Amino acid sequence: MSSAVPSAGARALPVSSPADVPASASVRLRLAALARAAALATRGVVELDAGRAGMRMTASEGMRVDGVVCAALADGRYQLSVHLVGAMVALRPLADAVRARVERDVAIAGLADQLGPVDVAVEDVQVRAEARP
Amino acid sequence: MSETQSPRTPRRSGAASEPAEASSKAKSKSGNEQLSSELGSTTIADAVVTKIASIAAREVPGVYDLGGGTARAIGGATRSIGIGGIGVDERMQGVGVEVGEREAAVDLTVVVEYGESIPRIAGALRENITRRVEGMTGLTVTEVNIAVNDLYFEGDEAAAEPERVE
Repeated sequence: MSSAVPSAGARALPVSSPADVPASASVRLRLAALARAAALATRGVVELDAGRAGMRMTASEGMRVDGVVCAALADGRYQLSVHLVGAMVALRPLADAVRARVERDVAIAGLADQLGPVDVAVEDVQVRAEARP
Repeated sequence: MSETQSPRTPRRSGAASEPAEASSKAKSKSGNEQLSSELGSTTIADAVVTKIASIAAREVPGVYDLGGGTARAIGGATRSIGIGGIGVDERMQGVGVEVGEREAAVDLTVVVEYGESIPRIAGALRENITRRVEGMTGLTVTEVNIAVNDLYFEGDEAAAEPERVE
């Protein structure tokens, strides 16, 4: 039954840049878009990974941010989980660099008070010769 | 043909000929203390460790292929009909990993080239896999278990090809 109707997230417009998200959008969506852009701008990150079912994403207001899960915490802040594919580099420092960049860009956007922990999950690595669809 | 080299090696198997502090050194350089904090956590998927171990194994001279007979046969069959890589990453065949929060164990099935020293290849595999996995992930590699599944003779592939009828 449920497979006949695509989820709201699947129908939503993918966000490729924080500029795609209006300032009036929810904090959750804005944080996710900022995190996605920050992660992709980090050297060593090849792409973000929404998972086989495409459920690692944040969807709201007709838009979706793939590869980033943003969820509310009880204290009013939001927890971010960034799921990435890395290059063949040291992955722990890469995760730390992503976290730092996300925190910096969120602070620049004036949302630092809303930001909780930033979890980084390296889902896969890509060797140079590997072509991804 | 199946010969198992060190089926259940001791913890930190590659350290047999290394100084005793090698294990503690690996832990101190790994930065595992930064795995999780109030700022967030870092997780590394099993597939990542599998791929790193697989690539590291193939870097060792004398290793012809990875995987048992069935896995290699399926890989060869799918490749021959042009669907290689669909569903299963061939580079991950022959590699099994157990990944914990701070440590990882690797099980490897390899085919080595005839004439090479299996103990030397096994040692080189442990050393290279440990170095690559620890370097890239910060996890401490506690075991690299190696099963030598077959030997490769030069010309084996040509002999296996079906004869052409003209």
